[in-house]
Amino acid sequence: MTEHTSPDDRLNELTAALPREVAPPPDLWPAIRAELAPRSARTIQWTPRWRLAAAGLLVAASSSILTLFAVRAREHTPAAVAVTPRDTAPVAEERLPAHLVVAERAYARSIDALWRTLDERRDSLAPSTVATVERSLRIADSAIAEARSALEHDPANRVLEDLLVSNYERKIDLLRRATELAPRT
Amino acid sequence: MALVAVAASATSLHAQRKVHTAYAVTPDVSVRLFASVGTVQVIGWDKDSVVVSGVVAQGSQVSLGTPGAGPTRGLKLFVESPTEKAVREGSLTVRVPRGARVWLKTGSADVTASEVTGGLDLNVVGGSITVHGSPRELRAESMDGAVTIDGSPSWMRVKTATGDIALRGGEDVGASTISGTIDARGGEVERVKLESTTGAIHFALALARGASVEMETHSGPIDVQLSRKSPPEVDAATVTATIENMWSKTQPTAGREGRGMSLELGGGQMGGRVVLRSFKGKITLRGM
Repeated sequence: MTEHTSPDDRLNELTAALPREVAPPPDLWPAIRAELAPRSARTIQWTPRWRLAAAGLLVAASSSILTLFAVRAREHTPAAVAVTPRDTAPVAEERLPAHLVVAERAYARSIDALWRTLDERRDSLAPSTVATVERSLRIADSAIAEARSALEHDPANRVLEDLLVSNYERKIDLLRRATELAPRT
Repeated sequence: MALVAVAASATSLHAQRKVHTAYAVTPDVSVRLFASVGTVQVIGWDKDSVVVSGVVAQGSQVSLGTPGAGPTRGLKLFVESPTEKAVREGSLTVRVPRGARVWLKTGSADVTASEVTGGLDLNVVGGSITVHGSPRELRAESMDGAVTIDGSPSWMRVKTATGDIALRGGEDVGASTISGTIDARGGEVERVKLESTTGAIHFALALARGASVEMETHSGPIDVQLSRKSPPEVDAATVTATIENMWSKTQPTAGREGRGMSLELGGGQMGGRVVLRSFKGKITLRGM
């Protein structure tokens, strides 16, 4: 990103560079098929459980697309930009590669949405399960903050970048799974 | 396919109810089971029928479907215990055709599946998952229970939060955990990705021709055993941690700005490729 390009313009550029079609991740189809098989002859009823499942699939798909987005975009955006801290440990001045800033905002939106869903369901889950999830989320957040901080000091480090993206994806996946837990488990 | 619906009974036994029901099904039947019980066994057999038997706590809601006139392609079974304490009193055994696809969701149950060659999608929170045999597709997810896969599924994805994972390889394998350990040994693999945030990863699988192996961690140690007879290409890098190479004579080099290490080794044509990434977990390579 340059000083003369607005974030929206840059986002449009990056979006335009995306492929017209994106193959779904290989592990997505079995989950979809498992959901469809028993009710293929009937109309889907959009119960809260179905909406939750659909939201989970959407998050999984968007997570994969974001990864692709980050990988594709980094070839074209060597510069670093400032970003407002979201969800992970804030620092005084954050400088990440521009494509990661875009990806990170989207990750933050997914995380916020999943957190809201989890909060709504918190009372229906066993306290021990909530404790396990929260403990694991703290570990994930700590890893994200550490990788993010290191990347701000070394924004061209591809290894760090991949590790940061993986940490985000593990956190989102954990949140998704937590929102799909059955009541009283 | 001779068996038609046999019986569904609920007999009082102290604080438990006995459950037994059977269905004629197609060989590739899809079975969806939600069971809040203490243990669930899924067993594949050479019959075109599904038989559910066991006991559940008194007061449990039980819905084991309505047997139809002919073989069915899909079954939904539901068991919910009245209280959390009563969950442990329930125990179910589900026999399915080997080629069945089984979707099972439960809370703290210990789940064991064996001899199923179709598909398994197993989801627990606090219980453990153990799979014997090699289903075509296997998805196993647990929060803090251990997952043990004693077989070589064609396609496998295993996820935990704090639970440990043990597996023996397969064709296309993925395993991910936050703080559990991953122990992969005793078999062969074609494509595998193992990842943890803080958990240790131990890898000692033989590599199929042209295998692709990826391991990634934030702070857990990665310990890898590789064959010296058909050496793979190795690409290892850490951000702050050390790399110890006891597998070959090549020593790792210091990383950028003197932090971390990297190690790149060319391999033979058939040995595949191994990529190792770590933020601050030590990477160790050993001979197998």
